[in-house]
Amino acid sequence: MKIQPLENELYDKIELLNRKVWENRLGRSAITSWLDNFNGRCQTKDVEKLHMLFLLSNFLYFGDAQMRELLKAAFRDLYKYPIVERLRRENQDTRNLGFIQKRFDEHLQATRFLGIGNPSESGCHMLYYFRQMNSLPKDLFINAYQMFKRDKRTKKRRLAYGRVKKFVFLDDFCGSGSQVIEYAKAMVQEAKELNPQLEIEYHVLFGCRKGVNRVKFSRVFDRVSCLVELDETFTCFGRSSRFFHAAPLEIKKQIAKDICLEYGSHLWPNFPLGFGNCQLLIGFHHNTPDNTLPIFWWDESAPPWQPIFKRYPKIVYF
Amino acid sequence: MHPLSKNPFNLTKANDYSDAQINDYWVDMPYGTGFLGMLKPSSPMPTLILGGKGSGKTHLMRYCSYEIQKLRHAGRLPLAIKSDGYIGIYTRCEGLNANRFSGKGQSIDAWRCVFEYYMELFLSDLLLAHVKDLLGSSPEFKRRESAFCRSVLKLFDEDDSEGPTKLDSLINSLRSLRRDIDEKVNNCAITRRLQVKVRATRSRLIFGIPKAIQMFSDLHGVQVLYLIDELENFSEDQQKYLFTLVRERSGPSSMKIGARLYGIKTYSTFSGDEEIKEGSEYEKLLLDEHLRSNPRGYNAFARRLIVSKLAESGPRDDDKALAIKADDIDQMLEGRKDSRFYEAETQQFVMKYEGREPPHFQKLRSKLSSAAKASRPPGAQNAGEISKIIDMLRVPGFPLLEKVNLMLLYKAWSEGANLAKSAHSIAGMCAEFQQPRGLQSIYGVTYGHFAQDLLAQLFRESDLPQRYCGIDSFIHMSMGLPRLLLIILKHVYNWAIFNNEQPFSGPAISAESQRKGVWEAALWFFDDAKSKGEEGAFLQDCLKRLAELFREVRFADKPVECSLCSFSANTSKISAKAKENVELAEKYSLLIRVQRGQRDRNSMRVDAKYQINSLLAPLWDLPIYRRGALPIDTELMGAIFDPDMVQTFDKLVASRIAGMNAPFHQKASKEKSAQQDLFYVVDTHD
Repeated sequence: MKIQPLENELYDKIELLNRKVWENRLGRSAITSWLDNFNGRCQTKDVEKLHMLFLLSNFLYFGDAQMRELLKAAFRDLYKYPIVERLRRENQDTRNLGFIQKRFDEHLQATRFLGIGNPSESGCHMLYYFRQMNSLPKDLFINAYQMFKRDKRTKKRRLAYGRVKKFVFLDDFCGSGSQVIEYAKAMVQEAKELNPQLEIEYHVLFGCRKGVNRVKFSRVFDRVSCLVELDETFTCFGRSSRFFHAAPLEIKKQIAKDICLEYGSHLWPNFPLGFGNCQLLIGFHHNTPDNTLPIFWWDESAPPWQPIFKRYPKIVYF
Repeated sequence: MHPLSKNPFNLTKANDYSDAQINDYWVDMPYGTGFLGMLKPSSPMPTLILGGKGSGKTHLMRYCSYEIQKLRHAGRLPLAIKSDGYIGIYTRCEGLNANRFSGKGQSIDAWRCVFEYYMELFLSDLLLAHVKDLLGSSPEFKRRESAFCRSVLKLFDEDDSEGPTKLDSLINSLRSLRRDIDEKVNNCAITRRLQVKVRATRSRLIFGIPKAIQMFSDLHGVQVLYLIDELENFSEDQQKYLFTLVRERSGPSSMKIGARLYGIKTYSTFSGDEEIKEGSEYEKLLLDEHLRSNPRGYNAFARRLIVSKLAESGPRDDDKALAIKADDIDQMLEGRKDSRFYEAETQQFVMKYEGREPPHFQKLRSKLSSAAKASRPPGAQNAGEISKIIDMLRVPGFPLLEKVNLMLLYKAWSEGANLAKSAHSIAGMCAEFQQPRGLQSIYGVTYGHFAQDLLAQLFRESDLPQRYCGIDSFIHMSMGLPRLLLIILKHVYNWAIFNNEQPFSGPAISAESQRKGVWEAALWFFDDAKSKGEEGAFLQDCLKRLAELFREVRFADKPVECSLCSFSANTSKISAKAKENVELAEKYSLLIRVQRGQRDRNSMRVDAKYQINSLLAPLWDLPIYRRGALPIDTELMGAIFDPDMVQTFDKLVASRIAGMNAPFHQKASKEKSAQQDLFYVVDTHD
């Protein structure tokens, strides 16, 4: 059978991915515009474009349907099953479904789910779909500021929900782990001081192994659970990168890295290969994490760049 | 809604269509008697409808079913049924789970009895339900319902005078009997018992009820047409039963049986194991072959099919409107550019090699330079002479003419002629050819026969994509299998959307989207059209070898046949295994048999002739239109199709091709005797 040029093969794969997985977000013109960013600054234009096309053909994208299923899995695997396991263990491995359901409902009523970040951020954005997909009552969800309230008499802060035994912080993505620690540390410490019996957990859909471990070792939370853990093979240019394991002969990891570093340094000098040097090739229906290579998502006004999986950044006003 | 979700070609299987879609997408052959004329549903003669996957068997059979008759004649029933002359009882063999009726510790005879009885009940149930639906509210039916039920009950072995007098109750009784069999058959693997009481003799109900319904004036003279689809899902014994019914057919009933080409396991019957006789007991309708044999009609039909798909949500068009819109399809897909000597088509090539030596001259120079050191071809013995030859053969702006020049030079080389003199003569012929009436010359004949192949060589040598585009090409590539056409268009549509085009609603779909789409369709077909397991994998390998042979010839310096995608062979001499694989490839539509065969040039014997399915052409850069046919000898046939001989393939092909490529080391005499002269091209295009 005729062997197609690599560029054609890559386009074939991308077209299929676009149609089956990427929710038809891209078209030829979007890809062409993105490839036009690569103007031969590092290698010849053709070499740069072929390598970038290769990286694009390996982009991991999770669409709306997949994210919703993952939210179902997160509730089931990270929240419900550990409780059911514990209930059965504490009750002679009972198989009494009525009993288990009743006790689980009690646990659920004594739990509150919160998002990481303020209500406009993706962690909180997930909560709406998390509630929908798992048919949960809305009073189980609170904003972080609702954890505490000020006692009218003593004027001291106290926990707003006296009967709540567990808080679950929900997040869509954990890259380096630094942001979640920074966000939750003080809040969790204060809550624990007010009620040392409280269980405070962090559940995340996707996490880099290093970042998730960092959150675990920080001991901010009683339990840290990750649904899809991205090990070092997901680090694009890492030693054990999965992307170059069986790459075509024309594609070289070092060349691809040089190109990404060259353009990445221009776009985001501090993190040319993504925040925390995570070097990811991952994007979601609702956003692309900044731990992904900036060449995919950079959409700031300066320097000008045409993204392929646009990121909606957090804009901070000082 | 994303445009991809609106792809009008997404649904390609008639099984997936609703009744309304079967009716809406129905398009008839515009010429001749049309599909119904081929099937003759009101004729008592049973028909075996054979065809490749996607040839339209199911659509045709479902179109004749009562459900679609009802839609087609809404408001005019039952009069319209009488006018049709038949009432269609459609069923798919797959839906019966017929493989349940075997094994489980029971004898073949026991299963045969139970299966036959089950079929009697099943088809009777369908027929009676349709009768009830059709006549249920008529005063005559109400008046004679009880008598009708009695006459049906009399068909059973035991006379049940106390049986139901209402048709609904009778249908329920039949269903209850069937459920009882279902339960016993399904549990037989566990109980190892099969205690079914058979209450009706074979064919009594199936042919008896159609006689009984004649008592109603609305159905008097109406034939019951059993439309049994997907026969390939029946075992040999079950097919034997069905063919026995074909033989025993009586009264106002007939059968139309649909099956894939490879689906018939026997033609035998239980009447003394005799086979049913084509012509007297049944007729055969080879659907895709019929469509292929009428290319003009098929083209017009296919265009109308596309229009009906595009107008999915709109109102139904009448025949005239369909024909007008069908002509518009050409504008919706970018086609080949008409220009003198393919100037427009080769413009990209000219631009690519502006100021550079094009690859065909590079290759000639290199071959002549190597040969100059060894065999010293006359007239091209040093670099200076070689350059002069090349300069004589140049035709700036018309690379295709340069390719013709080169082909003629290679021919002269193979004959040991003086190449300088030959180049001079070829340049003269080329100049003359460019004048009006030049087509009559020998140069013109070569151009006429080989232009497409040389164009393909140009594109291939310069890494430019081959052009498989235009609606006529796609229709031809579908080889009489309408589903293949829809699959091509489905992929073309997907690629057009990806390429930010507006397929079938904006400017013409680009050649690039068409090329990509047809490539994907070809890959799909190659993977889909094969049997399972090792046998299927080997069959794919056979096709690969055959296609590689065609490709080697097509892209040779001096191809011996033009537009090569078919071969002829004396199949009576090839090994049994090779023959089996050729037949299997034909059954799966990977190879298409050319009906008239090919006369052997030496012995005048008529050999079998096959064409590789045109949809596979893009996978090997082969032509889609058949013209020349490569005679393949017994040895090479074995190397392609016989698993025990494949190891000789490379050697045999190399030997076969050596005489077609410079420096033509192979014994010219042997090649010459086995193959035709370059200018003796048998035009077998039809």
